[in-house]
Formats: sequence, C-alpha cells, structure tokens
Amino acid sequence: MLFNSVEFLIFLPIVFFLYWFVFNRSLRIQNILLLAASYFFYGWWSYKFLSLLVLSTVLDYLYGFGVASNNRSRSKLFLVLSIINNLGILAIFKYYNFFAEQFQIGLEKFGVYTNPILLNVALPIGISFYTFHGMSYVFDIYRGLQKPVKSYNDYAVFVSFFPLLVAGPIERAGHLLPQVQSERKFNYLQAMEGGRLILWGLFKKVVIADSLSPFVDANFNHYTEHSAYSLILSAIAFSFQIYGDFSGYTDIALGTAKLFGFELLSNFKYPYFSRDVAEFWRRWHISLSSWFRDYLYIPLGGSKHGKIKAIRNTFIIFLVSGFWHGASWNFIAWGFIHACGFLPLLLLSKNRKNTGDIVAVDKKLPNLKELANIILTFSFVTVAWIFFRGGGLHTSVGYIQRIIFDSIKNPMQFLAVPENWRIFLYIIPFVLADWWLRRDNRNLRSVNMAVYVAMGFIIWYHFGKDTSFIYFQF
Amino acid sequence: MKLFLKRVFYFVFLSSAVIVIFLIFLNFQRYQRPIQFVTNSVSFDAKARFLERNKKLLNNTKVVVLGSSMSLNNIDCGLIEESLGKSIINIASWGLRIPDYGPFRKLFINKIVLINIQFSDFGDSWIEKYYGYPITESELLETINIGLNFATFKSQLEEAKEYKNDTEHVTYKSLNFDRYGGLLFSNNGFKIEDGRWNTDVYVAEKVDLNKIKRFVSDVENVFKDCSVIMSFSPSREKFYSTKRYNEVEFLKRELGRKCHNIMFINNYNYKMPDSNFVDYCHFNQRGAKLYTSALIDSIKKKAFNASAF
Repeated sequence: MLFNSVEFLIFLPIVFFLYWFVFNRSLRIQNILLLAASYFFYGWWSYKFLSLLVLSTVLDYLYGFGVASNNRSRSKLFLVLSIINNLGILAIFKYYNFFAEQFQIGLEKFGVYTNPILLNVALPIGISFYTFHGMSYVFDIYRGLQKPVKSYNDYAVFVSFFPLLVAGPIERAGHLLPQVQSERKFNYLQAMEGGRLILWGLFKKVVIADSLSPFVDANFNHYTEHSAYSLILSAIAFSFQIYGDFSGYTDIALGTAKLFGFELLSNFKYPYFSRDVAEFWRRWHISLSSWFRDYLYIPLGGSKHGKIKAIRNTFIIFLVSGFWHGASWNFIAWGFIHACGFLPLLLLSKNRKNTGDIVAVDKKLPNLKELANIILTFSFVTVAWIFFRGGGLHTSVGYIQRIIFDSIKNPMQFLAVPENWRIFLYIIPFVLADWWLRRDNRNLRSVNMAVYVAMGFIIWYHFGKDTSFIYFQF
Repeated sequence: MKLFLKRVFYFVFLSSAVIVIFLIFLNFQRYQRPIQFVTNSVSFDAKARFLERNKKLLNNTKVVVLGSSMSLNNIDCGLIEESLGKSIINIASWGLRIPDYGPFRKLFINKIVLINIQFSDFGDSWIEKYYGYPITESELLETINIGLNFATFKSQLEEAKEYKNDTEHVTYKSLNFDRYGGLLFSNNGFKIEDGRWNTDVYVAEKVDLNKIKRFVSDVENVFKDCSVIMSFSPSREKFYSTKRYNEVEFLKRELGRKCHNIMFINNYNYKMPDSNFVDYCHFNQRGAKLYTSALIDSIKKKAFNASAF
C-alpha cells in the first residue's frame, strides 16, 4: 500500500479509530492491532512475501534469546546465525542475480561460457529495511545494550510497524521497543504535529517529486537526444525529486507514527544546506548512515587506528552503502564518488568541522563563504546522483560525457532561457520552505489553517499519478 | 482527542469545500464549451458533444459519414443531402480508425455508411486513451468521474486549451462543425503549413499489403449490419504513382472478396489541381465540393446505389 494512495487514505483513519476508540483499554491489544494492521499493510502489496517478513521476524526473535546467553561462544554462534539469516535473505532476493551475472561475465573472460540460473522474482519491498531492523536488535543484544524481548508481538511491531516497514527510518531497538512496550496516551500536540508532517510529506512527494519526475525520466531515459543544458537541469531536478520523494515518505512515516503516539528517528535534516560532504551524510538518510557507523564503521576500528585504517573504513562504509541501495555497479560507483568526496576532509581532519547547528542558524541568509560551500557540496552531490539515477554505469558515464561534449560543441545554449524553466516553480518554493524550516521543524505549527487547506487542494490537484516511492526499490 | 478530531474535520471540510467549488466552476466552464471529455482526442470529444446535442439527427438520418479527417474534411455533406435527398450526419473525427467505431456499431444498423479514406487510414488510431466512461453517460456522472480521477481532470484542462485554440484560430485543426458535423476548410486565408503540404503519408505510414489486409479485416468486423460506400480519396499529384494505384486496386479486390455489403470507389486517380488542397490530401471547400460531386456521380452510376438510395 502506498502512502500516496486512496487505499491508505481509507486504511489510516480506520486503524486510527480502532486504535484509540476500540482497543484503547489494553496495551497488548493495541499492539496486536498494530501488528495486524502492519501485516495487512504489507500483505496488500504481496501476501506471498508477507511470509518472508514473518519468517525473518520469527528467526531474529528466537536468535535474540540465543545471543543473550551468558556463554560467549554460544552467544557468538547465534549472532553469526542471525547475520547469515538476514544477509542470506538479502543475498538471495536482492543480490543473487547480480553475483550470478558477474560470475558469468568473469568466466567468459577466461573463455568459459555458462548459462547461470537467474531468479525471476520481484524484490520484496522493504527487505533492506526490515532485515536491518532485525540485525540491529541482535547486535544490540550481543553488545549488551538491549535485552531480548519476551513478547513476540512487541518485537514484531518493532520490526514491522507499518509507517516504517517499507522504507524506514531504520529504527533501533533501544529507541522504538521501549515505546512499543509502554502505555501510550493520546497527545494533542503530538497528533497535530503528525498531521502537519503527513500533509507536508504528501506535498513534497505528490506535488514536488512527482511533478519533476516526467522531466527527469525524459532526460535520463533518452539522454542522447537532449542538450547539455537540459541534462544539467535534469540532474538538478533529480536531486530535488529524490529529496522530495524520500523525505516526503519519511515525513509521512514520522507523522503517521505520531498519530499512534510513537516518535521515530529523524532521517533528514535539510541535507542540501550542508557545507561539505561529511555534513551532508550527517543530514541525509541519517538512520542508515548511523546504522553503518554503529554496526560497521566502529566495529572495523573507525578512525581510531590511524589515517590509513580510517580511509579504508570510510571507503568500505560508502561502498557497502552504495551496494545496499542496489545490486548494480552504478550504486557502487555512487558510493565510491562520495567516499572520494569525503577523503580530502578526512586527510585534512576537517570531516567533523560542521557537526553543530545548521548553516546560518541565527541569521536570515548565509554569508558568501557558506553559500559557496553549500553550492559546491550540492553540485558534488548532484553529480553523484547521476550515477544513482542512471540505471547503469554505462548510462551514467554516457550522460556525463554528453553534458561535457555538448557544452563544448554548443556553449551558447547556456545563454538561453531553459525550455523547461517550469521545474523551478517547484524547486524554488521547496528550497525556500526548507530554508525557513531549517531552524526549527516546528515552524510548521505557526502556519495558518488556510495555508494547509491550500496545500490540501494543491495535493488533490496533483493526485492520481500512480507513482511509487523511489526508495521502495531498495 | 476531541480538539484534534475537530481540527481534522475543519481541514477536511474546508479542503473538500474548495475542491467542490472548483469542480462546480469547472463544470460551469465546461457548459460554456461545446466539448465533451471522453478521450484524449480533442476532435473526437468535440464530435461526441456534437452528437449528444444532435441525438435526433443521428437517430433519424439515413446516411452516416464516418472515418478519419478524410471523411470529416473531404466530404461536403450538404451537397450529398441536396443531390440525393437523404438526411446525412458526419461523425468522423481526426485520426479515427475503423476499429474505433466498433463500440458504436449499433448506431449504423440499417443505415448507409459513407467512408472516405486515404493511405493515412492504414495507420494506428490517435485515440490512445478512453477516460473510462462512454459518450452516452450523463453529465453528472461525468463530473463525478472528473472529481475522482484527477489525472483525467488535468488532461481535460490541457485539452480545453487546445480546443479553444483550434476553434478561435483558423488553423488546420479548426473544430467548427457545420450543421451536419462536417468541417470544410475555407478556400482563402487558410494557413498552409509547409510540413503538412509536403508530407508523403504513404511513406510515413509505411503502407504495405499486410496493413491493407488488416484494414480489410477491420472493415469486415465492424460493418456487418449496414451498407457501406467506401471511396479512396486522391492526394496531391506529386504523390501519385501507378504502384500506389495498384495497391488501392488490391484493396478493392480484397474488400470485394470479403465484404459483400461494400461498394468501393477508387478515386485515387481522380485529378485534382493543387489549388484544391490545404495539405497533402485534405481539400479546401472548393476541393471538397468538386470531389463530393464526382463521388455522387460515381455512386449514382453504380447499380448497388440505385437500390440503396
């Protein structure tokens, strides 16, 4: 079920009503309702893959008890089993075809021709998210940060809670489980904030991202037929499309969770106002970055064992992050580019320079240096997005080549008003709204009801395109 | 909770009110325009509205002209009615192909169907998308459909813009029907587009014998319960060739073999000076009159026609 669908508009009020008015007398029953609703939500897309979700949840729930054992070797055994189980599911459904094809290509170079058996199944939605939920739970038990949960239902709600089930944020047991296990009371301010976030998220997805999508698709799918100017605009448009799409999804997820009395982890903090790549990664898809930091980067030694190891670990984390997004070389290239962008900061020890507040937090506008850094970082990120969106390494490289060669061949094109200038009607208000909200997301509270009604109307006007969220494919 | 629900109710109520007001406004706007939104083809939709307003004419008429713009623009319905004394209606529209008339088969039962074609008619239909409700649906239902299907609603706004442009400006696409539903281009002051004037539609459509056979099969399927007069319209002399003429003759033979209710008139070699054309094969008013007169003569000569008319 998509957040931007009529089905969800019907589903959400029904669950909300049952949750607060019918099953509100017992926490246990409320959690059973949440689990049933979550499984219904997932099964609406595919009841067959629902069994995979349930299997993964049951196994990690059971491994949790094994990992909690006082016997260290027994504990380690169950940890390894859990990792094999989760990565095995990912390997089969997400990566098997990729590895089989690469193996075939590799053998062909030695003159051996094979015909590997490829799986012809759709990638189960949310697989990368719920397996990471399960792994973080088991890791935390192993590290002594979490005790195994007795109630399967509570654990299953943590893994499968419908707002975060298919595209995150990737929650931590230590953050969400206590909320699942404690009594929840309706909070007016929290619910209102949830409602506003849902509306703002829908606006970002339905109005901004979906409106930019046709322009982006036309350019990326037929890049050889477009001018350099158009391709550059399209890359910029994609930067905002993916941001609107994913942060829109996250806002709806956070808002929906608030309606049920939950606070989920934040996933975005105005990433396009970052002053360097390191800051960008502290503001973009935060729950994934911090997951890799805590469960991969730090266990590998982080930056505490000299520069060489820090560089190695940085490249590992970015390459794995790229590969997490998809079994394709273009995603690995995307991760590699970001690692390269991170490298100078690491070498100059400037990677933790902008860890504090957002840019120009007490001012209306950034200073020139800040503005230049923001534009530079955004340009770098946009170039990297070309690899993310390209659909293949060959296409992404071709796209960039086309920009370079067509710019040289016809430099005068940049003096013209862009044919598709209308995309800025979506981008500029989006940037301005983000700039206004950057200091305090709660600024949404001060917005007049009339503005929300207008937003509702604009969403309705743009509604009806059956477009999925980009991150559903991961 | 009460306060929250109250706020949500206000939001939903106010948003719905704005949307409803907008829809009412839209509906009011639609009444100002003689167009009905049923497909992605502005011409077909305009014709649908014409039919809705001329239901009696459609029911009582004896001769129905249908097909693509070759029938819409090249047949002078007034001349046929005058010469043959039979009531006539033109329900052709741009780019419409024979299979597009399949759903409306019952409209032609026991009537005489007149179709004028050219090589462009062997191509694909322009109508890629039906919006999900038939021509005969009530306007209330149509409005509700628009309210629920937002993508349709937006397409309609775009289409309305196109329609306005095509009725206010005398371009090729002009949509101002005469009282029969036909559309004759003026002799003077018509803006001739170079691209259209020099288009070789035979090449553009990649016409071959397979396409012709498929066309015959479509005709056979759609026009089972009526008498059909089909004529092949000439193009500008520049595009004439014996090979093409022979292919039209092949079509004639195939139709004769498979469809016994069809009278086919091959007018492809009918000589028309360029001054009668507005592009590669559409006539202006003078050309349409000239061609229709010739067609009437041909029909009268045929024995089949004597019984039909």
